[in-house]
Amino acid sequence: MASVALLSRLQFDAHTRVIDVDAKFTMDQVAAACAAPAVGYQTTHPDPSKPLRVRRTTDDDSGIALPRAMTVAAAGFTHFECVDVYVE
Amino acid sequence: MTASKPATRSKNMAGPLLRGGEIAVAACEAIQEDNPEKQVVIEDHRTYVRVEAEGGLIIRRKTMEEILGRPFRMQELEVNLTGFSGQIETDENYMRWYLKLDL
Amino acid sequence: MALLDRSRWYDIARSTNWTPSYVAESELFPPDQSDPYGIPTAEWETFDEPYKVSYREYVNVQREKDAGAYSVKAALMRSQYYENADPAYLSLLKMHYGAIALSEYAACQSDARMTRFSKAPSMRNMATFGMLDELRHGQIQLYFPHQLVTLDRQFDWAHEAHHTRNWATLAGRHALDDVMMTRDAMTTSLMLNFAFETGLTNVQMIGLSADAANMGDFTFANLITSIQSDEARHAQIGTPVIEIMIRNGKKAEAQQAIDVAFWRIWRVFALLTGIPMDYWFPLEKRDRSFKEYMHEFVITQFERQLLDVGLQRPWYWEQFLDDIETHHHCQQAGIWSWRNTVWWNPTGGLGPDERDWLEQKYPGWNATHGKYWDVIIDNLRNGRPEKTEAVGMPAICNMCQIPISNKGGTQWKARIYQREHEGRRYNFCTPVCRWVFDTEPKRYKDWNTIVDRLYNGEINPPTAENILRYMGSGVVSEGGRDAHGYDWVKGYDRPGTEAAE
Repeated sequence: MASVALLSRLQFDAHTRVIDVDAKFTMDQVAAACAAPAVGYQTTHPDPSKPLRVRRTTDDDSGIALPRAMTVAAAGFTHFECVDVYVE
Repeated sequence: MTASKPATRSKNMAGPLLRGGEIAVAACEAIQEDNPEKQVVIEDHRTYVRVEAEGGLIIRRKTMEEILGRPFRMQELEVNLTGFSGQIETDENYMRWYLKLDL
Repeated sequence: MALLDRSRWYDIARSTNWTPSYVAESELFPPDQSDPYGIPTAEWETFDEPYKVSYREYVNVQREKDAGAYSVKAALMRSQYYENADPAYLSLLKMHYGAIALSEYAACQSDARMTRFSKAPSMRNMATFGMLDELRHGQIQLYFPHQLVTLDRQFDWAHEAHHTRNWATLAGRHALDDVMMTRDAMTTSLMLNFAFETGLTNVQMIGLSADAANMGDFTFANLITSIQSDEARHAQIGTPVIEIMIRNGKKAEAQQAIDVAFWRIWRVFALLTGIPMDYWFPLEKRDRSFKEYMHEFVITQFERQLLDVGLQRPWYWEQFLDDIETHHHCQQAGIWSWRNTVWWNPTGGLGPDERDWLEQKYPGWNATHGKYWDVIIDNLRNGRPEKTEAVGMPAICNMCQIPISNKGGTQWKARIYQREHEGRRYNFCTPVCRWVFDTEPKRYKDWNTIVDRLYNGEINPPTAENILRYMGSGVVSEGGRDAHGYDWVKGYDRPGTEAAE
């Protein structure tokens, strides 16, 4: 199964992380994969009442959240692409 | 060893950092003697002593010999000279710390 | 027989240039080893070192320095100091010796390059002494920890670290190879003698000595200040190089070399010096904070020296000041969480009083770095110690080789600065590390971080266990664990502390 290594910026996390995601993963699954090694280990969920969203990292933070059901393959992520994982 | 500290630090301080000990004590005394016109600031941090004055300082071999009561080669100071602020000039008969620019 | 005063013969003794007749000057001094800036040899012959020494004086003084260091060590060995020392303090020594001892041998080679390839005869003379200095530093910093190997196998990293592929070794070696090992004689001098030795060694070798003396370890305090007395002399090789370059229209080149080297060494030294000073020493033994030492030795002293030799502060000075408030805090947290990857036992060391101290020294610490430790402390106080051990991998900077981290908690500062080059995506911790890459992509582009090696098949299989083995953890010695077995968390049992609700 094709997988891709993303670089994750989880909101309020001090570390950036390398996260392997499957091409079939939805954005909700990507967000969960990015949160898994961080939340409860070294950081907390930025707002448990809201879902974590995924967007491409941009210098000015102007990216739009990708649809939650969109897959990694459809998003077209490539090796070491940076994503923001955050609540809106 | 006495420690004095001015309220605001000038931008033009220069002088040696010496390893604490007998030579540092003698050198502080010699520096005060060799720079009578300067206000010498001595900060004692236990393992090192920061000695500085506005525009820099000089220390003379002759003064060290008088204080220690024995012959002294200027190079011996190197054993205890762990650093300095400003720039350095070395000679058999003195060491000098100075700044070229006045800020 | 009475000796002539040094000044009466010194100029003749150091005038050792000649006109080559069997080979061209460009063969005797190949530009890529000697001087790529094309400054005339006659200009280099004006090199006048501010800190002069003759060989006779050198040998006498060095003998006295060594006698002092070894006699303090011999006297204190009887006190069984290390057998009874705080384990977090021993971690400082393990980290220091592992990072520094063989780096000194590397520096010996750098000085050897200046000794052979500098066109300035006086510089060759001074670099010869510098070379001998670094040899002494290498030997003495292998000899001192050697006796401690029987006490604790992790001390073996003093000798082994540089031969491993531990991530911390890769970070140190990448910076030092860049600054000291792969440059021509003149650039080496700018980068090593001026940026590194004049700029940053003071904080480790003098600042740390004050804390070590407070711990009662006069052996180490004496050793590192003894080493620094050599540095104070041979670091002065850099000043005339800068003067000659500025006079010959190469100021921008000199400035860039110093800006590159200062940043590269800073990123590594912040871990080496900043973490122990602000986290590992018991509160009552701390002389001052890392930030205060940085202000004394770098922001005040070194910046003034830079201006005085005719250069400016590096263009990234504001970012550097921010990094002093941030970088080592993030890495203390990261190293502690990924502690099984390192060869020392870091302590969390964060009781309520330590937090108050950090908040006072670094206003805003609790709201940012402190939030990270809140999660850890909560896990430890509620019987989930396994959740304090990191899983997965952090992103690693393609320049400094250090995990890409920044302030979190109530801020979201961690960010990866990327660069696409020849079809490859590079990741950087800061715009400054990316700028260093941009100055010379050809120099840096083929290097792989520890994370790159997971994806290019070098670490195969890329399992957690195999990554540790690849890094030498569990091979040279066991990997790190909390130095105090989490004892520092007990402070929160005290009523009225922040975490004791």
